[in-house]
Amino acid sequence: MAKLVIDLHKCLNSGQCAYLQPELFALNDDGEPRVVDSAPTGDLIAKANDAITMCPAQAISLED
Amino acid sequence: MQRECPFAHTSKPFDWYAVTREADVAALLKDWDLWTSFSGPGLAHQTGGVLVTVDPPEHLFDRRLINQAFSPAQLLAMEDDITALIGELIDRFVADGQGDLVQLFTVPVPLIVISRLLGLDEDQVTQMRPLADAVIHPNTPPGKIDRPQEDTPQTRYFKQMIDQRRDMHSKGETLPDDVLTTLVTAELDGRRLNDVEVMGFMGFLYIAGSQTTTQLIGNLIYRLLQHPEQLDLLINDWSLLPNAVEESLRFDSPVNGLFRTNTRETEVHGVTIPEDTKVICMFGAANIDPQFWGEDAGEFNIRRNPQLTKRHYAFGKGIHYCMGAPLARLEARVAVKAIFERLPNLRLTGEPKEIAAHVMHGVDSLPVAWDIA
Repeated sequence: MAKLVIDLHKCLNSGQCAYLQPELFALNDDGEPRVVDSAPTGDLIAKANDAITMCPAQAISLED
Repeated sequence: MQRECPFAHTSKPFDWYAVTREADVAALLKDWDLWTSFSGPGLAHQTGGVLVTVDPPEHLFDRRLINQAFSPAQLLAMEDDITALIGELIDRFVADGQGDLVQLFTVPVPLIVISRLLGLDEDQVTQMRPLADAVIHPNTPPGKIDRPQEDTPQTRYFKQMIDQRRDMHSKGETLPDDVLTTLVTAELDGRRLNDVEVMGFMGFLYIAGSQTTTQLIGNLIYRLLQHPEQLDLLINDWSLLPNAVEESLRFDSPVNGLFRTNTRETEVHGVTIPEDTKVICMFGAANIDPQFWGEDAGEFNIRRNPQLTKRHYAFGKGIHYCMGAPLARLEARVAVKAIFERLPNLRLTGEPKEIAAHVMHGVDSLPVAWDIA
């Protein structure tokens, strides 16, 4: 199953992922994102791909 | 400034406020439901635009649409193209040995790139310069720019380009791979953009993509010339370049700040703010707030911890985070490396002039000389 990950080293803290797909991502108080559902299935896979495309830092990926 | 005056009030031309601390800027940008963009990012109340003047759900539609042609991955794939365009620009003046880098270089770079991206003619775009310049002119009446409904040479040119694309599209011809094609053909949620909307996007992208990047490139070149020891570090190790760009964005944010407007009465620092009040988030001040950055916040240092530097507010934060950020970063990296590689012994020959606009921060002239091989 594909695993949804954020490379925090690349992340630029724009907050876009949590804004676009709150089911998959959340921000902590410092604005740092974390994955809330790391093994998305069904509709959530398309949502994960939306976040991947829209991330200005290209820091999100689905890994096998 | 943050210690003594975290929250400033002005009564001209009407009541508005400014937040300057990092923590306050962060809080306002995060709470887009209370602090909306519906009245526009400027001081004047403005409605009916794209991206920066809308909130969810329209905002999401706009962002997804633009992302089809403007995705970070696609932008990064343009690096070779942009490197070639910038190289050709330098060819035009490299033999001169001296000049004003703002006129020669920092103004044309984003115009050339945005022309290529939008599918516009570079000469036509250069003629539209006064439009982009109006943004930084202190006397420009708020809201007087970027109005697709008005009949101007710019809107006539945009309209002509749109008609041409629609015509090609209806004849089934192959359309160029650029942002204009995306805007004309994009369909999202079963809806297409009309001419006024397409022109709104084009005008917005043109204005948002030109002056801001000009200031970023100019600010970074200027700081490096002011700090030769940091320039040496960079020239000896170009892997520091992304850090240098981020530090420039932090230390010399091209956009000083943008406004939000509250949807209900609220309190900031013990002051009651009535509904529908304009409050500016001062990105530039938040970026040098010692509470957040430490005591050396006021120093330009390209070796600052990159994991900290990247937290700057130059591109805003949250739902309106600048969609052009990957492009601005890319242009700045390519432009700054090219200028120091192609113009040996680059040096200031006079004091640069600061631009006069309150909303922008950057240089209006950069008198320099370099050695001719």
